Amino acid sequence: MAKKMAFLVNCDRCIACNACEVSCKNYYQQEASVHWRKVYYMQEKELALPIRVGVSLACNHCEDPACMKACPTGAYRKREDGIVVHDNDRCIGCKLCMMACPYKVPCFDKDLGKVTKCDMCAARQDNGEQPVCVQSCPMDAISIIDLNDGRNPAMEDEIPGMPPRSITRPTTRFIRETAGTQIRRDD
Amino acid sequence: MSEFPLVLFTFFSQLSVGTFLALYLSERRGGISPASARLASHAAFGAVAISMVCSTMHLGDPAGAWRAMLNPWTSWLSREILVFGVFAGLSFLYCMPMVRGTLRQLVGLLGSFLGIVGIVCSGLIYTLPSHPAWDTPFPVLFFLLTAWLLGPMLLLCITRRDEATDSGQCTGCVKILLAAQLVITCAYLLTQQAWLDTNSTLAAVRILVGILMPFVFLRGTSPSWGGAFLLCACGELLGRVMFYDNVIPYTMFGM
Repeated sequence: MAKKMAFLVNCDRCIACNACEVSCKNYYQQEASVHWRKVYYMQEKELALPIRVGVSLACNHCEDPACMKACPTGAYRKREDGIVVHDNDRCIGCKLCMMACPYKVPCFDKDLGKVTKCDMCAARQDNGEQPVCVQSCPMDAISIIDLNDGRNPAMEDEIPGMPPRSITRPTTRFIRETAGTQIRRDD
Repeated sequence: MSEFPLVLFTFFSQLSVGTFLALYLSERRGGISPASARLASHAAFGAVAISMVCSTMHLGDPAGAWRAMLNPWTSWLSREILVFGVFAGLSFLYCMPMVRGTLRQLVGLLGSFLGIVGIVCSGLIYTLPSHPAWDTPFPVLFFLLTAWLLGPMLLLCITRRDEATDSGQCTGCVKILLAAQLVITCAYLLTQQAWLDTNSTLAAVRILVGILMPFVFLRGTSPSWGGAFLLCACGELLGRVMFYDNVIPYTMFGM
């Protein structure tokens, strides 16, 4: 069976240090406003206890990519291993993929005049290396899994705060946070 | 006003299709003078030419604009560009004096049909699940109404001196379309308010200037088509700016 590569984000380990985001920008030397990976904070109303939970997200390499369907030039392609890649040579910078993506993943690079996005470091993976974000995370909170591998840990396919997964069926998986004992002083 | 080139593209392309369709139907019915028909056909072509130029201003790589036609299998934008490209060619042909008789009727019929198809494609581009307010019939309805309101009004401005112009019937049709625009605009603002960040003042101005005030210019036996058209055009432009700027997409963790 062909591999189905996906990000696994461990929200329990993430300390929101942004090393993943910075390492990606550093490696690919993107224009300042381009962020292929972003660290979000779960909203407090979604959490049982007042804790801070960071969620590092890049492209979700969806099973039904809205960007690929919307793109007028055919610049997007979903590889056999599930990675959605973008061809800069075909792109004309119409930004329709940016409107179509529910996760605000594609970024417009003003210097190139084209849209760019995370491709799960496909070229590095093809050379047997890990994506830059995975390699740089000090907490091992990001990893690459094969969704077809039956040995994956228990994980969830959505977390509160993200758009409904039925829109594009993102492949990113999550290990949810666990909150430890908290002592509250109410006096 | 982040999408102003798209505002202009959709406005002028829809004005062009509306004018072309109104001209074709007027010529089928008869009574329009050759001079008026020539001017109207040039106006329709000019509008679609302006719209094509405006659309390239939206691109990060305008020199690669031709590549926008490469994915008609899944992309409504590709389909729109292809259809409007053919429509632009047909509207150019319609300007030619040597295109007469049966050929002219054929070009007019095909151009009218493709123009409407192009507008529907334009509207379907925005039926994106990521933008719930747009993932409704409203984008297609708005775009069609722009064409059906502005096109006939522009044609009536051009043909106002033609004796055969049946202003009464035309006035009635335009009033019905204005009423439809009022209903649809209010329905959009009310039913989609959870996914819109609407400036109430601007919405009121859009309705007043673009829909209600034209009624004043259309009163009596000698309606002022120029005034009605200008007001309606301003209203449609403002409405289109609001269409692009007020929509709220799905957020990521509230951001």
